[in-house]
Amino acid sequence: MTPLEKRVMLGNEAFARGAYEGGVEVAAGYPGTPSTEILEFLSTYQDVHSRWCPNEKVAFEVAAGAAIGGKRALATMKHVGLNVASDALMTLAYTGVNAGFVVVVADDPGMHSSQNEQDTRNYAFFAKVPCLEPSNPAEALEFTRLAFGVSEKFDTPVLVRSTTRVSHSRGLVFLREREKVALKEYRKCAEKFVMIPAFARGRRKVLEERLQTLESWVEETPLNRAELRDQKIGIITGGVLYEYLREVAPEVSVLKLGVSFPLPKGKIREFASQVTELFVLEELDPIWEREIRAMGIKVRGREVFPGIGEITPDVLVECLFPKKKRGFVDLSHLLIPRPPTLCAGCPHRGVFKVLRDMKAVVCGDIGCYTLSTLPPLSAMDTCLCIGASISIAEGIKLAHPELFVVAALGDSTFIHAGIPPLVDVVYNKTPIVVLVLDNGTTAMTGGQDHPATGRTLMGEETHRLDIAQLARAVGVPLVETLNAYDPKKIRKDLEKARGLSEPALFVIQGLCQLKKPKRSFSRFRVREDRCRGCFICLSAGCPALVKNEKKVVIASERCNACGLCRELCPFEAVEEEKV
Amino acid sequence: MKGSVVLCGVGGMGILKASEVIAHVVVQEGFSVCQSEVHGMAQRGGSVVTHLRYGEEVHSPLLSRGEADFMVAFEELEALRYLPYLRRGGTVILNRFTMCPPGVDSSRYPKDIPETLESAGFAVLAAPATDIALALGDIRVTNSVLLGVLSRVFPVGSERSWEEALAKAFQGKNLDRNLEAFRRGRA
Repeated sequence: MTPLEKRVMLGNEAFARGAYEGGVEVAAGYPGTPSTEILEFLSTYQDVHSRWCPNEKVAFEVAAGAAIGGKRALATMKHVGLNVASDALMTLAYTGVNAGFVVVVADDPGMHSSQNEQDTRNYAFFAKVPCLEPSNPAEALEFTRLAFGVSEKFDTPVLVRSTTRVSHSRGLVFLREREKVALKEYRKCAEKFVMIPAFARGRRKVLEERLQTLESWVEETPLNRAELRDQKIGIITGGVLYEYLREVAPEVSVLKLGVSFPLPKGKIREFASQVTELFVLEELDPIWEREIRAMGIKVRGREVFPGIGEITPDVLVECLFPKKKRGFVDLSHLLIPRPPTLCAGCPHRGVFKVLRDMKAVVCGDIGCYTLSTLPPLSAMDTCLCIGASISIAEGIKLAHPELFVVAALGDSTFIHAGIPPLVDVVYNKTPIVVLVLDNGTTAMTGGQDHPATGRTLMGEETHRLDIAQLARAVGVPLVETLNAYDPKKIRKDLEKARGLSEPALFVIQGLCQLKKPKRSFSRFRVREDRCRGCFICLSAGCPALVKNEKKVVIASERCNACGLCRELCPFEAVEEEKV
Repeated sequence: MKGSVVLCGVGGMGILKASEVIAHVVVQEGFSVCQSEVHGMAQRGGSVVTHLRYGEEVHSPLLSRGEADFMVAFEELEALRYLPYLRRGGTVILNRFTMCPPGVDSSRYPKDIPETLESAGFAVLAAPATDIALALGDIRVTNSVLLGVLSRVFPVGSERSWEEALAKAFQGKNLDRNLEAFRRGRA
């Protein structure tokens, strides 16, 4: 197939294009940096059914079902999303698929936007499913397209592992036509698709046999290739590290692994015999290193390269050529840190200010509101994984019934994994307060729709989940909906709930600032004659408020006119200005 | 020929878009390109940086320290933060715009950043891009003003090529505003 056109694409756009060209018909996912844009780009192709699901497990299963049914299907998620979907993965590896089924999983070495840095290749080893690992946007496109064929040929789910630097880098890609794939027949086959123990035992053998055929395939596929140059140093690597290596050490020999699992042991032995000193360069876990050492081959990996965080080109040079230095100017002694903050006008700010003032134990969750953790708000006690706010809060309450324990999580997060723990709160009568911070979107990942927004990924109107009604339906005794910009009322209602011996749930509503149309009709200002310099308003950490010697001023270009500072000011010094 | 640019500023200033325009220019001129950017958490008013590399053959989307030929800094403090990526004697396109991080007393903000950069041996092309953009009625075209300034010294791309690249990144009325901003920066 000759390319139609070359284009500069973001890695995630290339994954989407690869799936499109590979004939994908059903795609499902849950937003998560750095994977989110894959499905957003895919939703622009009208001949693919793309959807956001409540969580990664649902997305994985919908896509797997479509593949079992006979259509090529894709699921996308970030690394921690695969934890949620792993229950399905582990057994789908047994059943196999029908039409091609590919899961693109994006890891985040260095934790740019994640709570941990886990290595998805572990899941490939664990589930015994093949894992492809592109190095750049062009390969993201090509590998994803090829993955569907691999999935069908070996009747297995296929993982495609990305990392932040592949997903969020741009490069040239070559576009091809979309493969025309006929709908496969769906035939009932309980021995293959019903994993009762009697049938699962049979499929367990199939899994091992398949692995053997995959082990032969990885020796032949051009996705794994040896590039022999200077044979003093040979490095086995893959993913974006291959690109860094080509840039900083173009002279060394490389065995580039485009397939992370299973490993091409024959190719590795051959490459090892051709070079004087062998290294294995991998980000996060020393997975390949363990395997290569187990083959009895002398290789250096973790003793040279770090196992924590990103391996950047600078890190690579420091490890490989510690004496090589490039001159640069460092004026970091002049710097002031600039961490991310809740936006000016963010609906979460007032709630966390109240919780902090009430000295509540706040069990947080995954979302923008983790930005309330640092000073001046310093409002969060825990943040573990999606949905854990409610269940962790329950546990803390069991340990210390005298504490005022609050769980705070977003609307999308609540739907993702907050419902079963809420049922537990009711069932086991744990007197905690659950706050669903409903900003009408999945904010941290850039504003995606979810079941409570009433709109699908493809832009269709749909049934809107009513969170308050859901809470009542599962039996929460006290459910109320409050305005995010009314901290006094929020405080009053929280005081009331604190005194109860039963659970309560408040839906705190306020639209995400990033989703609001820019307003130019109202603005706030501080009246200099009234401001007494108490700085109470600054305790909520709004980036639009600036301390100006002894008083506060509002930087009008940053103000989003939420009015929270007016609510907080004890001297009525903040007033609305009509413009 | 090969080269590299580091762009930096504060989340929400149009840095990714500017980086995309440069990528279009170098590709139009027959080069390959790779570029890295940061999404997610970093866009909440935090510090943002993108790296761009072009040439006949390019590999790493991340630059090494001391490598970039050009820096386009949308905010003065951020110029200092990413300065290690710029090669000695490299050129800084500096927006004369300061934004003190929230909660920090403005007296702590470093003074005389253009002079500091010059005395460290860098070529500084400073322009009040944000003010120009505001005068044009849209703060969001700050990036195109800075691209105009960059285009004066960038070794790749005619004026027409830059305008063609802008037309790939912006549409309709938005394009007109950005073209005007670009010309103001280039003038």
